Parts: sequence; structure tokens; C-alpha cells
Amino acid sequence: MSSQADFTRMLRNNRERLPDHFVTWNRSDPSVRVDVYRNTVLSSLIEVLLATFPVTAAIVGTDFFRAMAGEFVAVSPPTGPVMAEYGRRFPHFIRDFEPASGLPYLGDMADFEMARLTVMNACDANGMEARVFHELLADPDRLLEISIEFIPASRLIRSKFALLSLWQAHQHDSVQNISLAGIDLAQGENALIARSEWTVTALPLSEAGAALCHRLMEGDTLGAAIDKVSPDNAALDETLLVLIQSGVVAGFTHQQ
Amino acid sequence: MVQPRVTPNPVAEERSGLPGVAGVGLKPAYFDTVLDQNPGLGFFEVHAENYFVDGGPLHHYLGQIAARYPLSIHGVGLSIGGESAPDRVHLQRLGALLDRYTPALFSEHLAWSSHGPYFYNDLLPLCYDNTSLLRVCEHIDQVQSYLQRPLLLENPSTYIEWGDSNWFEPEFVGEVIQRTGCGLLLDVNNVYVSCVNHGWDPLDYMARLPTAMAGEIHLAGFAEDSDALGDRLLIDDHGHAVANPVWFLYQRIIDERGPIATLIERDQDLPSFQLLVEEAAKAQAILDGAMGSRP
Repeated sequence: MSSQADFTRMLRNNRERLPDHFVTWNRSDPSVRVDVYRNTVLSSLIEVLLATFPVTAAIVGTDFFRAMAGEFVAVSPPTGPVMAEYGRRFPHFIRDFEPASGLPYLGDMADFEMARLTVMNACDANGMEARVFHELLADPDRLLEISIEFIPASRLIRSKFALLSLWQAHQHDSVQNISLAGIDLAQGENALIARSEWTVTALPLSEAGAALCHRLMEGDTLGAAIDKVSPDNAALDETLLVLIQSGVVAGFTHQQ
Repeated sequence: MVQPRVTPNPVAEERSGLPGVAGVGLKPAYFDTVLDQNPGLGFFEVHAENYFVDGGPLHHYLGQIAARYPLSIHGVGLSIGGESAPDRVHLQRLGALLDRYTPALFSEHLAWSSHGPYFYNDLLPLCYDNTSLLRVCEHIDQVQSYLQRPLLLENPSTYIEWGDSNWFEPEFVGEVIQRTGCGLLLDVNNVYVSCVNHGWDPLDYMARLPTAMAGEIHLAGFAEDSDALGDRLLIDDHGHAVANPVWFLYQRIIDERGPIATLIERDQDLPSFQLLVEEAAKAQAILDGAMGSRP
């Protein structure tokens, strides 16, 4: 076993006996100094997760979040140096994290926050202008035969909980200003996450609208998506409006 | 916009592409302030891996700032001191970033962060023996030949020594620089932190470092801790103002070597942007003073 392998095993397990590789100038116990590395690795990764999942952390409180994040780091350390990508598996971990099982919406919130970061850093691409949609809308038969290509900066989040309301309630600098009154948690909410002028946005979608959007993102033509989802006219109008306004449509493919 | 005085040091400039100016680390929290206020700074530095993203606001704002100021790109995760060769995908992303921004400076650490499948998000200490020396030189050769540009290698801050080390750290750094043709990123805070942590004399340490090869200097703050015997153990946390002993060592090296591009590095407990600008002004005054006193 190489010495760097010994070092990393020690970093990952604080009960690991310190190998005899190390010396200190004053003959002090080297394990105290090795703890500095262990603490830096762990705390820096917890800070990364705190920055990526601020509302998830606000919901459970920072102490609980740090403990939960520490457990995640232990079982799921990063496999690359890009910290914007670390945490992709955190929502899944949260769903299985027994001490958080009393907050069934917590995993959805983490999904939502990871999706926001992914959209923020996605490749730049311009959405189509509204004019192109208006031309299409004037030709309903053709409209049903198109499938939509989405820009990279777009994600759909669907939740059985009032996720968007909960997230918005936490957009305050001060904890005192967070009010959860009036939020019906059991009211499912959906959102299309996109970018506008370098800021990440989340546009609400109804249940039928989100289902329709999901089918379109899977590559269905509008006609096929409508057949599967059977949205009413209001849901169809709403979905098309959100797609136009959010600027997430890169282009159309016309399927005969 | 107040332009800093430009103070020539041909050796450092050739190595770095930047004159003897002071700059600060750029964080997203400062984007708006920098673009609104056009502060009189000589350059900005960013961590390479934070910009390994495809698009979005990070590149948008960095692009705008890079159009106004020289840029330094500082790698923190290439793991040059690791047992494995530098990761190809990492090098590709780094190469794309350097092509996109053509920074005046590019630097990395004498440290390792990756082992096996995992990345440890810290700068871990090397054993300074001949095996390690050959490996580090090979990795730097690979990086420099892939990127087609020399890098500046930063001297580390460490908390522990490998018992098998048979090189003194600054001489190991010097040997690597001589063998690979890379330059030195002289981190004066790291010099002080490592010297306190290992009972070395900072002036002796700096005398053994090839400071003539320095293309950039880093100044940062540290946190105080203590080891198992209660002796000082300094933590290189980049979360405090630059300490007086570090300013003292900085003054010494600038007096000796002339102006060298200098960064105020702050990664934790970010202060107001104004405070960083004031620290950079203090460094700039030392750089300007050295110019005045030179023949």
C-alpha cells in the first residue's frame, strides 16, 4: 500500500491508526496535526453543500444540515475537483436519511436546489423568439406535429409538496422574515427552472402543465404529449405560455 | 478609475506577464462592485476549477471583468504531487479555460488532492524524497507540454512532515523549478505558516527558495491553533487579514527582488470589497517603494 493511500484512508476514517510515516519538529503527537487535514477536507465539503443547498439547510437548521452533510461526505466523497458538480447524489441520500424522514419534502427541495445550480452553470444558448411561436400557433395542424428541442439551461421539477412556495418563503436575509403561514405543504407544486438575464428563474406549472412539459422534454410531439396527458385548454395555454416566456425552446423539429 | 503605478521588474515581468502590481481574489459576491466601481487594482485572480462550468453568469461576469483587468488563473485541484499522472479531462478543461481567457498568470500547487477514485478538496502534503521529486517533475512536464505554457508553482503550507523526506522543502521546490523550467508562485503566508508549524526559520527558508524565479506573490491570513504540546500551529485558512510577520517577510523579499505581481488572497469569511482593496493598496505601496529605492 502506498503512503498516499495510507494518508487518504486516515483522512476518511478517524479511527484509523496513524501510520508511522509522520514526524513533528517538537515530537508532539502527529495525530493532532493530521486532524487539521481531516477537518479541512470534511468542513470544506460541508461548506460546498451548504452553498448549494441553502434552503434545505434553512429548513432543518445549520447544525442538523452539517451533521447530515457530514454523513453524506463519508459515504459519497467527491470523485472530481469541480465542486459545482458535487452534491448531485445528495437529494437521493436525504430521502434515505432516517433522521430526516419526518420532512418528506426535503429530498424534493434538494433536487430543486441542485437543479437551480445546474441550470445556472449550463451552456449558454438563446431560446427562440416569441415571434416564431406566434407563426406556429397560427397553424395548429403543424403545431401538433412538432417536437421541441430544449436549451441546456432548463429543468422541470415536479413535487407532491408546495416546494416553490416553501422555497420562495425562504428568500429573505433574515430568519425573522420567513413566514410559512398560508403554505399548504400538501398542495403539490411544479416549476420550470430556466435563466433570465444571468439569473435563475422558476416558473410555476399546474399538474397537467408539468405533465405536458415532461412529455415534451422526453421528445414527444405536442400532439402525442396531448394524447397522453389530456390537458384542458387552460393547461395547454399555460404550458405554451411558460415555454415561450421562459426562453427554454432552442428549436423545433417537424415530425411528419 | 485610479490606475496603480506601474513599476518595472523585468525578470518578474517576463516570468509572469504582469508588472509589479497588486490584485485581489475575485469572488462572485464582488462581481457587481467591480463592474460598478472599476477599482484601481492591477489584476484579479480566480480558482480554475470554479470556472469548469459550461456557461451562465460565472463566465459572463468573468468575461466582462477580464476585458478590463489582467487575469490570473490559479489551479487548486490538479494534484501535481499525486501518485497518478494529472487527469486528462482536468487538463482539457484547464486548457479550454486558459484558451478562453488567456490569463497573464497561471499557477498550481506543490501538493496533491486526488488519490484513486476520490478528490479530497484540500492541498495535501508531499514526502520530499527522490521518488517524489521525479514524479512531480514528470507531472509538471506533462502539464506544461499539454498547456503549452509554463506554470508558476506555489510553495505549500503544511501541518505535518513525512518521516522519509530527505529534502528541505524550499530546496525541493528549487530543484523542481530548475528541472522543469516552471516559475515560482511565492506564497509568503505559506512560508510563515510552514515555518511556525515545523520550527523553521522563515528568513533561512526564503533564502533557500529560488525567489529570483518568482512571477507572483500571494499574501493571505491564517488562523491560530496549537498542537498536542501547546506549540503554535497555524492554519492557512485564507480567512483573516494579512498578518504583520507576513508583511515583514513580504517587504524583505520586495526589497531584495524588486516589484513582483502580488495577490491578496481571501477565500473564507469574505470581508467587504473595500477592505480587500485597502490591503492591496498596502501591498502596492510596498511595490512602489521598492521601485523608488532601486538604482
